[in-house]
Amino acid sequence: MSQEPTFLPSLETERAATRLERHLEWHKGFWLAYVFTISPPQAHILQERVGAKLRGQGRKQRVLRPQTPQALEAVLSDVLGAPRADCVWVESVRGPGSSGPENATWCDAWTSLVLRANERRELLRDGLGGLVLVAEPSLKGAIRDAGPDLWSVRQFVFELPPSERVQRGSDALRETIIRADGRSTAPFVDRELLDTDMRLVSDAVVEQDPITRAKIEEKLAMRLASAGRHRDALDALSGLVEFYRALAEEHPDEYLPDLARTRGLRGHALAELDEHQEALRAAQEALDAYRELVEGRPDEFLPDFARSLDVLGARLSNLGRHEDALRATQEAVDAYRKLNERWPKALFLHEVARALDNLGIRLSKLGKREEALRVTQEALEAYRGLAEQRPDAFLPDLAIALNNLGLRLSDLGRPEEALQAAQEAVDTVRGLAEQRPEVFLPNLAMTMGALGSVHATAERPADALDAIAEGLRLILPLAAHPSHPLGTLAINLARDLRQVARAAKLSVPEDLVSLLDQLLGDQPLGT
Amino acid sequence: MLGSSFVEPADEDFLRTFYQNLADRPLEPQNPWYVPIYSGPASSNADPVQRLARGMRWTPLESAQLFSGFRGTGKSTELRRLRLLLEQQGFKVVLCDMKNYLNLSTPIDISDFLISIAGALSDALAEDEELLGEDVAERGYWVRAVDFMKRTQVNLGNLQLAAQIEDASESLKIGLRQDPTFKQILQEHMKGHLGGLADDVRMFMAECVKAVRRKHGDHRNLVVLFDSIEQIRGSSVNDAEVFSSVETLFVGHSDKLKFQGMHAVYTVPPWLKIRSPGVSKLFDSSFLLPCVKVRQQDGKRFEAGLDVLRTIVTKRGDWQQLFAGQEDFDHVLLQTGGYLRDLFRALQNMLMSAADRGSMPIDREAIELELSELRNDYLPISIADARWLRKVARSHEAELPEHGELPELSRYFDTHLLLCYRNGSEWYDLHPLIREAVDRVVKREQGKKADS
Repeated sequence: MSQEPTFLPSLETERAATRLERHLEWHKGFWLAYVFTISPPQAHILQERVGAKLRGQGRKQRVLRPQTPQALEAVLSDVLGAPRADCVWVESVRGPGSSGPENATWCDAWTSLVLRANERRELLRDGLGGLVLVAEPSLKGAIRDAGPDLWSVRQFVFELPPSERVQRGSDALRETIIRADGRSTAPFVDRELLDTDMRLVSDAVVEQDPITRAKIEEKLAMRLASAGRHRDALDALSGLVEFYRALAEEHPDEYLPDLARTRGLRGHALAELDEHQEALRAAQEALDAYRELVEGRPDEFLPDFARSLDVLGARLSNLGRHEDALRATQEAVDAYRKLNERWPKALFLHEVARALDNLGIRLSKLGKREEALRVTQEALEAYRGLAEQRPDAFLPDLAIALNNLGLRLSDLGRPEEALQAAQEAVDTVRGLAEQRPEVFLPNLAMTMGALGSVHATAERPADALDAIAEGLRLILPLAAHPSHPLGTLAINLARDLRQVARAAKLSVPEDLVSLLDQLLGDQPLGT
Repeated sequence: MLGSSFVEPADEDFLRTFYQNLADRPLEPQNPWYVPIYSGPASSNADPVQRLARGMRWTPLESAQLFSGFRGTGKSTELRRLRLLLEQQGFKVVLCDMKNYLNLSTPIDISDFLISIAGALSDALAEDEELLGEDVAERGYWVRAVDFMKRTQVNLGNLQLAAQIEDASESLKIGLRQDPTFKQILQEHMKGHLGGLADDVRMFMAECVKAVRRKHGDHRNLVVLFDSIEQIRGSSVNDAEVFSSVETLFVGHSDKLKFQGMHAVYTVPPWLKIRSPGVSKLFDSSFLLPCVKVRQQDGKRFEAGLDVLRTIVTKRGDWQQLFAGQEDFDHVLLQTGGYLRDLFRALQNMLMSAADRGSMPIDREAIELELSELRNDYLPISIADARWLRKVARSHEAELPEHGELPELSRYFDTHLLLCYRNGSEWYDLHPLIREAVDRVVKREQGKKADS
């Protein structure tokens, strides 16, 4: 099972952005929002969306990202001392892995800031249009308690997961979402509402300025992608890339980031449509844009640059260019390591771990199995540490890393250890699925399928059959609808089940026979 | 409205206007949106504002009363109504917002409190042309306070060093508000001079009363509403100390808070009555604004309260367009527990949801989703909190185990985990949105204990 990151905001970020954009259209007077996240990129996406909306309205956003607790404490004087701003964005997110005594210092700084803001809320009301406070989720209670008056007049509280990305499965297991923090629902899009949106948007955008129109179209494109309408998403994104290309030529400082982002999104849509050559070209173009951006503004764009390298690695791998893919992914790992060293408290450890996991896959594809195992183990160790601190956020990632370790060990002919890892992956996801079945049942099905593969390699066909069958049964109620996004996962599990059964001359469990016929028909094995 | 329809541009206007009408702001009593929450059957016909005003009319010469309210229950709006009512009855009313004078996050002492309230009144009278429009006794209170300190040889560093007395008085004002160290030194130095200070403040307050009467006639009684005192609270480091100081102020020094010829109203934290049940007796009266009751203690719906809430919302917008029926709307009213800010927030989010989905009325799923978002604001709930909250849910008492736990209780009120209602006497209940979460946490904990 391999992983492939995307540039998409999480659904929660998308929802928060939609709400804030509409709020900015509707609301008059002072407003206050709290955003809790451990993900600077998600916060960044939201901040940019708010900024873009304000710009479209001819208003200004002021962004403050204090780098020390002392600077955070002093932010209020800065906010109140400056001329009236339409929206002040105060963000201090150190990201995953932050811990230790320094945490207490940051917590004290936030408490002190909120205490004072609470006392001076009338001044804030008079002096500001809106105030957005962006902090880490672990500080939610402290911030709420330190400024109850401020809290009670809040307009919004958003909690943004670290990231959203599509987990690409093994040959048999594809297209299932594992949400990084395990808090969110599957990216379900109501198709009927989407159709309505499409119809209404075309009329609604006519009167908007071109930038606002582009933002709306981008949002719609992402919704189309989530609904599996990748061709429509691609059409919209292609137009947007051209739109931003023209703007970026004249105003590169302002619009090159938009061009880079939409290129990346377009590449994602192309990959989903299996147009791998074009997807690779788009990924390369996105990387080129980010390379240019990172030269001028390294602090701001190094994370995007690293991520686009990781994506490029995946695109190259899809085309069988494994050597090139390895080089790109190795460069992504290096970039993330650099970021992680540069930022305090292992801010990018999560990204390092993910890139390492992908590096393991690339190495494995080139037959460098020992090396693959080593980097996968390093990824696993990082995820274990992260999951200990923030189980809610990182247990799903830990499960994926365990799953991949199982596959790497299986590759090396170490079946007992492979089974142990794959079983731990299943146990971990099972625990998550007990709490949030609507989110994690598909993932449990997927890890059951992977456990089955490991059993099969270990020449335990009966156990393999049991594991895959159990996985299939888990998603039966959902996958019964052919149009359901889990349909592909169901087909792949069904195919694996039939393959294992035929190879070992075992019977497919009775309750699944008709389902296999329904899902696979007379499909030959291996298709 | 039974059928569902797509949101047309006209509907978008409706949604936007309704959304804007729900923005959080205190209302003047003349505002057409104002609904007398506390004067009808929903409040057992015990209107605290009328009672406060009556207390002043019926108490000869002067009075000191306590007024308490939970955040978001309309305290600021009701204080405005009190002011209007009293002005209509011939009183001269001054509203002093004490958060501009007190440091709300450090322990308070009677000496700095007296200086602050006298200074606040002095400023308010000087600033209001209609009321007085000039400094009382020519120099106002701040200069007088510095004089007092110099006379009593209170050594306050910069105050003493300031070349001009006006600079010193400004330093005193700023120091009290912003400099905890200065405040601490002041408190220490004033310990031996409290009697003198209290008398000096009494004299000054009397000067204020006389000045107002001179301008408006002897029959014009002065009412001073000292607002925002209930917001004093500490941080995790000093909360116990701060709470204790507030209790000492109102219980130990109530005699120093009554001024000749003046009706004074102090807004105090709601927990004061729980921690010191006798405090009401030390003042002429004490009133608390509860949430609008939506259920009785036994869990049955309270229709009078629901009616009031329906009226409040109806004045802001036509909820019948937003909801498929009254059952859905009532569900939102019940789930927000009569806490108006949550009700408004939930409705605003539901209006956005209607716009997002492009159809009205919104269905139950969308309603639950928005309520769930609101619920998340209150989560997570710790095991210790859940245990306490569950006890309150069962007994409807505050269940304060000991005084040391007061900061926790205060936090429950401040953050609305606990809501207060009244049937004659006050009672408490969990915010309906967190009830299930609290039960779940406690049961899980009990299960773990049983397993071990």
